[in-house]
Amino acid sequence: MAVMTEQFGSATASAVDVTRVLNSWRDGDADAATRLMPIVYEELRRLARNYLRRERGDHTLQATALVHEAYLRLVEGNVSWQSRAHFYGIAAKLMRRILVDHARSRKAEKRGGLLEKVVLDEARDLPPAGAQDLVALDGALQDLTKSYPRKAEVVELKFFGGLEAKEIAEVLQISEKTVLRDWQFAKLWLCRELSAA
Amino acid sequence: MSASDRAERVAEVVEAAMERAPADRGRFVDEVCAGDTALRSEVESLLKFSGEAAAFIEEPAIHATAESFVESEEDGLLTAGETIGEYEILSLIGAGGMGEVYLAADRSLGRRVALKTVKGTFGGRDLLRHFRQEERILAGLTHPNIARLYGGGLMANGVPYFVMEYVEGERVDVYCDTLQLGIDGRLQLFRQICAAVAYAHQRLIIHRDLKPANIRVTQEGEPKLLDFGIAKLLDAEGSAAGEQTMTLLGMMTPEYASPEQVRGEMMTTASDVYSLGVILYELLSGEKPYRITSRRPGEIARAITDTVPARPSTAPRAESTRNMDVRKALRGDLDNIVLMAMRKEPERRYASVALLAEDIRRHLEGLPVIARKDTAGYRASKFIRRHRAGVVAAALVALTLVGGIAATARQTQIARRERSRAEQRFNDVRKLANSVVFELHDAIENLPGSTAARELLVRRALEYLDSLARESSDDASLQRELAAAYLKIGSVQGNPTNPNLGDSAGALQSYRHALAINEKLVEQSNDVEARRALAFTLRKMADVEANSSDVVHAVETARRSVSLFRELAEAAPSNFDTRLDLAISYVKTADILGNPNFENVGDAKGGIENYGAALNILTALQAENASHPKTRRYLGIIHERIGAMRELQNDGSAAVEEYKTSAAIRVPLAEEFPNDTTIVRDAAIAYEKLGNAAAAAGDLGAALDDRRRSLEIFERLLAVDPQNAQARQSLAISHIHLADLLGGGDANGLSRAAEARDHYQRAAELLEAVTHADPTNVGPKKILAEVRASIDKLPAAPR
Repeated sequence: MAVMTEQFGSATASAVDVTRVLNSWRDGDADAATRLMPIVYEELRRLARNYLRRERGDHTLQATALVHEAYLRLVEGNVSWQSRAHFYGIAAKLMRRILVDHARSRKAEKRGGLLEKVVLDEARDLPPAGAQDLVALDGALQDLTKSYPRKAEVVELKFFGGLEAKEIAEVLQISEKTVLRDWQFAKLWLCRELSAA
Repeated sequence: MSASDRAERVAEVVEAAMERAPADRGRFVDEVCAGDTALRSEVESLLKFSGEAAAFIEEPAIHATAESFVESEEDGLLTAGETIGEYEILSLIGAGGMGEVYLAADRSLGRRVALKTVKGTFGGRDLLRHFRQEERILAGLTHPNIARLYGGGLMANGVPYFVMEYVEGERVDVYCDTLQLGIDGRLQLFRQICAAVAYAHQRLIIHRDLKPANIRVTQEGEPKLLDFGIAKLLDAEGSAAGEQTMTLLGMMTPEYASPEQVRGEMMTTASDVYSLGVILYELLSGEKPYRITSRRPGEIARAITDTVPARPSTAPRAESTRNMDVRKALRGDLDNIVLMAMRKEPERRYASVALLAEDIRRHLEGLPVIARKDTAGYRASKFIRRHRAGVVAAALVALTLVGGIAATARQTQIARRERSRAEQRFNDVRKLANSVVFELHDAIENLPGSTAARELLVRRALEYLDSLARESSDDASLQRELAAAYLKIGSVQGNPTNPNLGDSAGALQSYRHALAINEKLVEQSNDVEARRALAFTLRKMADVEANSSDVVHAVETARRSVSLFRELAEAAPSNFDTRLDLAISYVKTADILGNPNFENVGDAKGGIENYGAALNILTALQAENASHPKTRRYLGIIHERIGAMRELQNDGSAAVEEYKTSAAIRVPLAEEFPNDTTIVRDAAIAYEKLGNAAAAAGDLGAALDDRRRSLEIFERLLAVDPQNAQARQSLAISHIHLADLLGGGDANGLSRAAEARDHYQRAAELLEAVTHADPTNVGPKKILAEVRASIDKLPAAPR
């Protein structure tokens, strides 16, 4: 039973929930992931918002920090490594969904004939991660999954989840070296795919 | 082989190839794929992308998209049709980390404006206070290439906003690429940008956040600089220390931040020179000088402070610039110009934006440029290293001079044989040297940032005059010119009353030369000009003597100056200038006799008498010419001085009255002459003194306000002339006074020990720099010792 306090608010309640869901997942509850999604999704959005609002002394918005923090806030006590891996896997998938959905909505917005915004601020002037189109990348990644499912997962964890190679190795239970090889290959494959489009 | 086996095999070969050096991959693939052409072509089709893939998606997706992702969670702060004061919101035209930008209509003036909201956690009220302080200065920026700042305020919900000229235009880099401007076209445009920045620098305003996004080009092809002065406003808010600059803005666009900015050190006009260098780098080469892929502050800082960027000519990207011609055009001059602007050490960059623009002009006109490759050989001379800024400016003149002088050296030898022709040359050189000393020097005297340049200019000209004077020691007018040149160089070297390089010993030596020449002239002819010059030189000498622990001697020197001017004034009672000079000499004498703010001999009574004599003269002069700026300036000074003496006599209320009178003269004068650093400095001092008065009257809030205002002016003065020792010492003292009030020395100070400590600390750093540059100058050493004592007296910092 969750103890609600002013200080911790709903996060405490969620922490208990998430831990329980993760455990029931480990115990074979196929539906667990579906229940986990909305909680993690909300938490990630909330954290991202906070990061960007927070005092600007520290501007290092890191996807890793985001996912880790979501984990720390949502998962209480000891869970098995499998559960932890699940969590990160889900978080990366959710980040992917959040960011791609967002990119898609922005594209739609532009097509909708809104005035082209004059961006007077530099924040969006940086080429977004090699200036690729997230929506197209998402499509290419889906194709990659067909031939190379593990390599696609590495991309998801690293690019969308912000995890380091070492953490990915742990989540996927492969060696770090394999993670790096997968990553190199996937990048070549995606570049080729996107350049053909 | 199944499809999945096939896929595995492709991956295996590609991954193995990727682990080899690029040069070896071809042969490796040949060997492994021997005979299997399908495998081979599949593998090669992937390896082809190894260059492109290197940086691809290395940065996590959220870095690039997070801002906009969160942005879309809510709509803009304001909606069309809403009104903020007299502004009606028309549409959202931009958004980003800093806030939102709206197109709005100013209904009272019937014009369109850009309204920029500022988001963040800092207090809008404080921002507004800063804005009020800067408003007049920023509103005074009227330049066709600078977007006007019309005003600002707080919305009902406390969010601050600025209202600016609405500029319809393209980012400068996009503009250049869209129009496919050639190198020369880009340079011309860039020079216009430089001119606008130089204009602002002359008005003591640093942009602090120059970048392509802040430079728009209108349809007419006119560049417009946005957000001038805004960074400073936000920045001052970001930190109590006021100079910590790794801010919101700085971090958002680290590519254009100077090393000093990244390190959180003080920003100066040189910081803008650096940012302009980065912008020029990009405009010319199409590449950024540093490949910053990380957003971690430490890594960004390291790239900017430690890495030397590749020469622009080696960087061009294929699409924005075209091929080898571009590389060739950039190689040499333009490489050197860009990299000189981007040097890590501020003092080794162009001394001013104007000089950067000038070098570009020289390049465009096919003249030799000043920028040199940054080689070890070039650094050899210690003098050049210390005064590089000056070298740059002087080089312009020296180029002209050296040619003439070399010829003259030869000619003067011939002179004995061919007198008339040699005389012609002699007079040419003399004219030129005099023009440097009197016209050029004076023209740039109050130009911020010119201290070092002036010293070199005058020194060079002096050498020439000196050698000419040796040739004809009986020429009185030449001797006079020589004395005047020595006087000027002495002042630039180390006179504490004007922008100077802090070299008291050098200053005294130059003054002694001037003195000796003038004394000889008086002996020979006893003419009025020589006596004036003598009196004037003595007064200047007293300044320096008093400042280098020879105050007894200084009193004597100052008194000699008074008596000479008094004789001159008595001989010509209607001469306005002579009487003004006499008044000034009285002030100097009084200062060192008994003014507690100066090195003095403790004769308060004598001090008050001399101030009284000066006030009488100045009052009479003002009755004759009420608008005369110098008279007004000295009236401002004299009331401040008398105020100090009243304080010394424990007559607090009389002191306050004097300070108020002084401020009432000085503040409007500074508004009238915003480019004159001396007059602006006077206004800062007036605020200081008002702060003292307010503190004495127990109004600590007002006292803090006054002192902060003063500190801000001193900061700006040093920022525009970073080599100016006087400006540095003044800023230090300003920090000390603020610290005293915050919880240090003043018994009734507010208790804000931590803030006080910060200000003391900053003062100590500044003073260390001053004493380091000039160990013979005892003033700053004494103050430094006091600062350290004050720090020790502060309560220990809480853990």
